[in-house]
Amino acid sequence: MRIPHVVVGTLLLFFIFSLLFDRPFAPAQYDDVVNVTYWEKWTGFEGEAMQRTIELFNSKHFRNQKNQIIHCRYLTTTQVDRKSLLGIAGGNPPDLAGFWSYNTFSFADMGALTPLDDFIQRDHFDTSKYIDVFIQSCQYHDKTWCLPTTPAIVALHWNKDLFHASAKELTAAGLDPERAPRTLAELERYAEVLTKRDPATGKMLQMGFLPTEPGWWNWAWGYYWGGKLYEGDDKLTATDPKNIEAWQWMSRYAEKYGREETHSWQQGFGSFDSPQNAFLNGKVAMVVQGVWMANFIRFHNPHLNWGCAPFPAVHENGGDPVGIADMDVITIPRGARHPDEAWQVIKFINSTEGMEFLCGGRDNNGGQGKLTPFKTTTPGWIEAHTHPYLQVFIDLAKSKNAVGTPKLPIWDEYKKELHAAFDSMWLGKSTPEEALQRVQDRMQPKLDEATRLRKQRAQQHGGE
Amino acid sequence: MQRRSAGLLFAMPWIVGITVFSLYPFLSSFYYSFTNFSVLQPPVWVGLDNFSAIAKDAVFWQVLRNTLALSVLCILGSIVISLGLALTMNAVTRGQTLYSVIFYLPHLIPTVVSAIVWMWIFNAQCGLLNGLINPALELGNSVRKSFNPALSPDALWSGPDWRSAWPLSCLFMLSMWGVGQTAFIYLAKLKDVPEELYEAAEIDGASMWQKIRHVTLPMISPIILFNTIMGIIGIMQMFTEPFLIFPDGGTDRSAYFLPQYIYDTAFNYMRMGYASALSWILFVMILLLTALAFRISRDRVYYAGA
Repeated sequence: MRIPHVVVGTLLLFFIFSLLFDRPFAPAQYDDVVNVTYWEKWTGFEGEAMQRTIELFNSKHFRNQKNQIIHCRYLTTTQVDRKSLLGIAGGNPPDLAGFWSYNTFSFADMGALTPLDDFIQRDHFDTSKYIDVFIQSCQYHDKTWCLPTTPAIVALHWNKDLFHASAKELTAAGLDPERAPRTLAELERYAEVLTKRDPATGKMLQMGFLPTEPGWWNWAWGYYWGGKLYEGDDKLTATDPKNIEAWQWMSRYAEKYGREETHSWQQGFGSFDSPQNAFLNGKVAMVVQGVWMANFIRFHNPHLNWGCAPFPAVHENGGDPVGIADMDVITIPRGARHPDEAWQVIKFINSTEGMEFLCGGRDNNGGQGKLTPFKTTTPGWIEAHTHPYLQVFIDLAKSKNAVGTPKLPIWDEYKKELHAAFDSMWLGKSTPEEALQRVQDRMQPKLDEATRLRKQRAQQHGGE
Repeated sequence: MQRRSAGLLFAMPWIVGITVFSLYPFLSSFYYSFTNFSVLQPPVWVGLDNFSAIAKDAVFWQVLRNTLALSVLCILGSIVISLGLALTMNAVTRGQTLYSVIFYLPHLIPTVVSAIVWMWIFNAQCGLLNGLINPALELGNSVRKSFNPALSPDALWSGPDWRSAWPLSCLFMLSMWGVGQTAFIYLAKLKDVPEELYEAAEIDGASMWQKIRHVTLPMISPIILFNTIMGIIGIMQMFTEPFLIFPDGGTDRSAYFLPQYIYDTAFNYMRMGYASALSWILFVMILLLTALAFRISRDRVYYAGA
């Protein structure tokens, strides 16, 4: 079959046009101003807080080495990680991209990010000011790939009103209705008293504690039992005996309150960011939630009487509490046009002024209402913050048992597998041992492959 | 010649579009399926490594089982239900237009909207489905209680948690919801069956079922084949509905299908080579199943006038 000339001609023309115009779009630059593009994920009040932080940066008219004013253009976008990645692959990335800390490791492995170490050394930027768990989550294979924007850490939130409503029963059971449980054994006893069923139908009305609400950290339970999910950078330890122990506890808990029943009951809960949130409307008396929860309590149920405490860990012999830490980070993608200027923006956000402005809770949600990643804060900052229990989170972050996001290039996949296995265990489709063994068997080969590829790339790039 | 060139010129936007946005990615994905490719690094040739890794990938076998089970369920269901619907509509003499509108309407609702609506219908606590079932179950419970007053609350019947207990059934119901369009194609063909054939059959003393079996079905068999093939192609690539209703692949990955696995592998885990290999496996599977449908139907499809 002969392809007609007109078809070949037009396709050729299209191809030539693509080659001619295949160059990154560059926003207009003026001699005295350099525009730095910044893509972020946040929307709502968190997005506004970051927007205001960038406006604060712009208002200061910082200059680069050529004495040009640095102007940051802030853009909120969905799926910022994927869009940035395509931008990087296409040679047209933003100068700054806001990711989740777990992105850092896989992106660094793929060579998608610019290491910040040269900037840090050149400007004598002090990294010792960070709480260990946060700065460590920015470092991977001896390089610093990002810096925090807002850190997060989770704790046990308890509904004081529900505790008070069951004060008599709690006291009768030898428990104090004025405080949160301090040990796992206590947590179980509190949960038992605070779980209420309809006496006529036996249907669940309220639960003291439901580990699967919201269920975002089902992968992390092992840490509270002293377990770990990986060793070094090439060995997964899903079947660590402590992890199995944690999941056995969870399995017993599910069995006690009804595996299917709790699963189905949970479907009646409203979405997280709504007044129908199970903690906000009193369906679950104790939940594990992040530092951001205070904002949502203030928005949707400001009259809720609540408290915050570390989730009890197994090591009761005076061990430090376990804190599961995560954070949002800012990075300079590979191929960014203005890395120097982008670094200036990162440096400002990571200054005391920038960070306390961004994470602060002053002026009715002026900031994101979270803690800062720094060891110290300006005097009075915590007291003026809208979060009444900020110190609980700061202490958790500083605990020697604080755990950051696992530094694995396959973390996203590993986490998904752990969640699928947890569901299976919760519903009694597999035992904790079987579920974790399956995760181990499925994920270790994937990590081996990722490790092999990383080493292969490192060899190709002269042992980088 | 000039007419031909002018025609081709008019078709050029489409030709350029399909070449650049379909043909090129299609062919390049074949190449990528033999490479390790993360988008950011140049692809590295690995031969058949991706395919041998897939053969050992337990997640792949699980999603393959799910995909095949869903396909069989939905394709058979679609033939039976849409054909039944078409035969009923064909038999109805009054209000056919009204029924047509009612059955076709679900097809006009965007997939995302209907998926979200169904997500709520399946809700164990406040879903419409359990709302319909629960009164009957309550009645059953009260009868059971009258026989056994000591019946424990745990033993009482209540509507199931559809999404975790019956994930495939959820998707089956959802796909049958939009079966009106297929029914319409059958209906159009049914109207085409010559009346004389039915009259001849009646003279021969054929019953209702015999007329359907020996007249209607052979006459509409090309359309059954067409709908089966379209069904195979459509169901095996079903993405939006499971993606929305089971964002994490359902409980213990019971509603995780090949298209979702390909999507996750490509865009969440950035393993384009592996995802391309998975895509080619899906493509070959659809191709084989279509060929099988043709093969099975070779002696069973009647093309009138052919």
